[in-house]
Amino acid sequence: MAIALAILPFVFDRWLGSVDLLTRILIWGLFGIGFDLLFGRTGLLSFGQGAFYGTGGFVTAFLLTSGTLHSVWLAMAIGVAAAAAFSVIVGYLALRRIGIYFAMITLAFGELSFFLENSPLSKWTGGENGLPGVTAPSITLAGLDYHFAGSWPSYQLVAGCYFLGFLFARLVTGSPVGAVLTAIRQNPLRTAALGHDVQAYKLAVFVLAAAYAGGGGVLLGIFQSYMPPDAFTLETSGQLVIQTIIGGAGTLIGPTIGAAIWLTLRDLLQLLPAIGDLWKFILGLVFVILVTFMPNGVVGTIIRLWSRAHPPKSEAASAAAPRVAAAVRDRLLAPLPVADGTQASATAPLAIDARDIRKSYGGIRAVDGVSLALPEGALHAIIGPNGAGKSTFLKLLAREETPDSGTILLHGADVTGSDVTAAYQNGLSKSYQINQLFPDLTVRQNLRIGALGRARGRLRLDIFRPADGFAEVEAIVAALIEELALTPCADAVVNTLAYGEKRRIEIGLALASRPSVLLLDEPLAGLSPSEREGVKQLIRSLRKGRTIILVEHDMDAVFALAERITVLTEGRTLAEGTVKDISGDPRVKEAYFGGAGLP
Amino acid sequence: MTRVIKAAGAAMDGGVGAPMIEVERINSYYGDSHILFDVSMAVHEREVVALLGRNGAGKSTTLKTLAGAVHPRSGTIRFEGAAIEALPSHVIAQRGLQLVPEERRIFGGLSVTENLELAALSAPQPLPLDDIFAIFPRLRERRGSYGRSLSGGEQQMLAIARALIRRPRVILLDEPFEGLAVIIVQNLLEVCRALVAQGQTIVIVEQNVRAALTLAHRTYVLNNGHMVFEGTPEALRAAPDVMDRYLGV
Amino acid sequence: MPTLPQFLSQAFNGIALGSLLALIASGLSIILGALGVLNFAHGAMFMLGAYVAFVALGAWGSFGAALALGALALLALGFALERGLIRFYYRRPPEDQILVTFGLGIMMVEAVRYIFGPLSQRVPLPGWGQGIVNFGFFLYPLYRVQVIGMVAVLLLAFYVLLYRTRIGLVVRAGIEDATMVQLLGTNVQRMFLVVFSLGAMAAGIAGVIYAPLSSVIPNMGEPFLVECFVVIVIGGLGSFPGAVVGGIVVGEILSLTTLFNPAYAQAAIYAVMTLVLIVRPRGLFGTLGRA
Repeated sequence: MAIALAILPFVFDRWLGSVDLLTRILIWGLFGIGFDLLFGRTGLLSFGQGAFYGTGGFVTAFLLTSGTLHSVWLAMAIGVAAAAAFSVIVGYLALRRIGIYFAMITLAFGELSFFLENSPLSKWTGGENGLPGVTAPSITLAGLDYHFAGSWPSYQLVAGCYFLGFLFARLVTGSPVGAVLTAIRQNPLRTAALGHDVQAYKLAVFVLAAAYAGGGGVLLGIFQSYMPPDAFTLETSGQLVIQTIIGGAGTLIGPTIGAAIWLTLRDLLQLLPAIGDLWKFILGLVFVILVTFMPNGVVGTIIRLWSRAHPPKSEAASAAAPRVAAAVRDRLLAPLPVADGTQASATAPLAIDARDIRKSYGGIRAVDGVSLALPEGALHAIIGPNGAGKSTFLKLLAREETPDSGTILLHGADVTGSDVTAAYQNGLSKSYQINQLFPDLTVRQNLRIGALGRARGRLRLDIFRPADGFAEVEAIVAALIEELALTPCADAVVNTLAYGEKRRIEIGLALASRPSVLLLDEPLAGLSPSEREGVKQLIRSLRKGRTIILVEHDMDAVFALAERITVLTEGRTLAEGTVKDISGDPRVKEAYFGGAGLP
Repeated sequence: MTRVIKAAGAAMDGGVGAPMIEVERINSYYGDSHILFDVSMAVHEREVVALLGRNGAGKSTTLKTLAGAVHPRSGTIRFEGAAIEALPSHVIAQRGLQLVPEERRIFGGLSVTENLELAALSAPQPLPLDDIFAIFPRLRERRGSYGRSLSGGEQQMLAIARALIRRPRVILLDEPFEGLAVIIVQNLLEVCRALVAQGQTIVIVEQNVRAALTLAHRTYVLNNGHMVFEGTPEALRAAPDVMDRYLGV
Repeated sequence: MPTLPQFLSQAFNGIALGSLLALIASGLSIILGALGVLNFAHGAMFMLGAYVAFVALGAWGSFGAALALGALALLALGFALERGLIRFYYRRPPEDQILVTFGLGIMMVEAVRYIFGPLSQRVPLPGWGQGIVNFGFFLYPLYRVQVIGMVAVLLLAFYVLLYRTRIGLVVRAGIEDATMVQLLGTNVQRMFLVVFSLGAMAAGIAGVIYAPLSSVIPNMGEPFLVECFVVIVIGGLGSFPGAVVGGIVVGEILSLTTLFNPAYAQAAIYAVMTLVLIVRPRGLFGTLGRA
């Protein structure tokens, strides 16, 4: 990267117009790095990045042109900080919604900023005229002043900032924060269920992207010695989106390549008399074609072709990885001890104590006064016909939904009001009826997201640490891979695996927090008879003193695994007892065959 | 596990006619989860077939595959002699194979009458609304109400009525009695009996085994996506091992 | 303080602008509700309608011809785009749908810029629209009154189409549950085609009507697109009454704020949008369906 930044200006100077073109590309590229973290990594499509680009640029330009500040460097820093501060407000509002709504709201805020800049704030921003006369910074090296004004010095300043910005983004993407952001893009609900505070991470990356945008705007003003008002327009935000898609989202370098294509083509096409005025139409057409047929963009496609030609040799590597001895696995996968101080009573501790739980959906009482008290280490099954409320009850226990009434105690502590993220942090996790995985990550990366959740807490911005830098997390992941018999495919991307393997990863994700209470929602669903045996075996070996609640339709499996069984019908507890009690209970038989009161 | 128990004397009732639906070795998936394994079955004209099995056995998937909402990866489905397994669901519905889905899927923002009119749109000779209201007088009373304001029982009546108004050749009923009060189940059962008496062909999936058996001429039992039994209700009742192993507790 | 005539005049402007916004936004909203596609090219379609008016009024001077041509042209364009491109996007993530329609919008704007040039051009008022109405204590341009009348008729037609016809029945059902519509024997793909074409047509007609009010310029659709987003967020996604009420609300806010301080007109609608998002995220008439 550093070498490219050193050589490229000579190439541009000689063959592609001027160094200034490259400087512009790098400003867009820096702006784009932030957007790539937001959209490419985290999947948040914002159409309002121009707001932050403009904010950064105008705050710095105002501070310098008005003579408020004399330190250019300080003015630049304040510009970036202002963009970030503005984004906290916008992000707080826009991130309440996802997908289409997020795009619309960010766009609306972008327009809002443009109008604010253009008239109410025109006293400070120059309105439609912008702010001319932005000064460039200088440094004093060995007693010599060096002023970053003019083509080459500007390039040096921009290239330096770009280089630092790129390195920083690399740090972020390689850190646990980057891993969580990728997880959020692929499956936000599961990321939250694995103990990560998704909203907080989203806001963090939104602010970071805005800081990059602000930095781009600051450099634009300094480079041109003029801050143009169109920095705020939808056209700016839209051009950023287009450049990122053309270059390749999620690659960091993609937006820069996209900017290079956009700006060079603009310059080159405009020289051709036949199509000069059509250059933007042509780029729009190219964009539509790329979105349709090459969604990975230029860089993404090159990476894909490259990795197809050079498949990674990870399989051999993982086969050679040291096996984790059974005893070590037992220790690593055993439930983490429950925090002290929650056991108020001296009686035998209850892992789960749910009292009179109720939940209605639009008048239908899905769960209608169910209680369940389980001692630590119990393996309890919940069965019942369709619509009995089993899955809803499990959702309530896992804190995905809040009951209308009733209390839920986890190891004696009231968790009725906490969310699914907190439940995971407290050692209560769930594997889902339908696989909720991160399809484009490897098995190891999937399990790592789970293990990081509990090791790092709800939110930690530890960007100076590699994602695989937690020794205990890596040990747990390795033990899980071994335990789940996933060693041969440990470094394979999940969406290439067979359903049975994915099913085991699903359980593994729930297990990665070393939970003391594990909820399994139909773990055998969709598996072949032999795979069922494997998973049954796995469930037995998972106990290690932890409490397990099993919802399952395969009665053979339920009778073989569970110690006690609760039968639900129509949202209520019909019977509770040992396997023997339940299988002989005529009421249960009646419930299954149906027809109370029917001929 | 995959053994099909052929019950002795599974002869057809007198009124049953030629084969209408012939399913041969279909395999259906949700995403990459394999749900149906080489499922074969047949439905004859004027016949009521009950498809039984535990939760997750693949009953609903079988109906959805028949209706074209799920396309099988292999196997064939013939309806009145023509292969339909690759057709889009609206074409299958137009040919007269009508699904009443488990979740009922009433249009909450449309009135009862509009729900019925929508269903009648693509039917060549729909029943007059009055005929539907004669079958379900309750729906006449509530014809102007939004679907979302109906009770569960009324919604189920409307769901069945939406199918009936199209005069389907075959009705596929997915758990019509689920979550309903006994009195409403009896009401619906009477409607079903009247349909059967008129010679309506029905495939019914029901957890309420007893209710289903009172209607059915013939039963199939699915377990974990495999067909494990075929026979008359009498033959099923006479096979307690099948009842207990695949249906009961 | 503004005088009462000023106030009434601006309130009328608000209705004129708001009803136009309602017409554009209802097309956008129905497409979004039924197809799940947020059409970023909708503003450009509005602009195309305005340019059709510019050409037709310039060539024949007939507003009726402009209206018919604008409606037909956008109907045909919507038809072609849905068949040729949009339908391949139904199974792709919403972000891709936004991107492709955004790209299409750019192409439309640039094509117009290439053909007609980048400058704004006047569109003549139709002969019958020239003049001033005297409401007794304030004067108001005749054409604006006619705009309100025309859009009211069009919105009524849209209402009848949605709530009194078979097509409307299928569309409303499809917004709720397209799969069930399909299971009841109706070809949903065809309904999608109809909705997208009609939505494009609504934008085009609005463009034709708007053109004589102002001038035409290639990027004129952009502020309308953004204001329509605000309308949809306020009114509720996929809701026709929401689009109408939201349109009038936004139109009035824009006009009345202008009366007091034009600089804050745009800011005011975003403030209201923010308020709705916080207090009632589904919008005034929306249900918690998609998104």
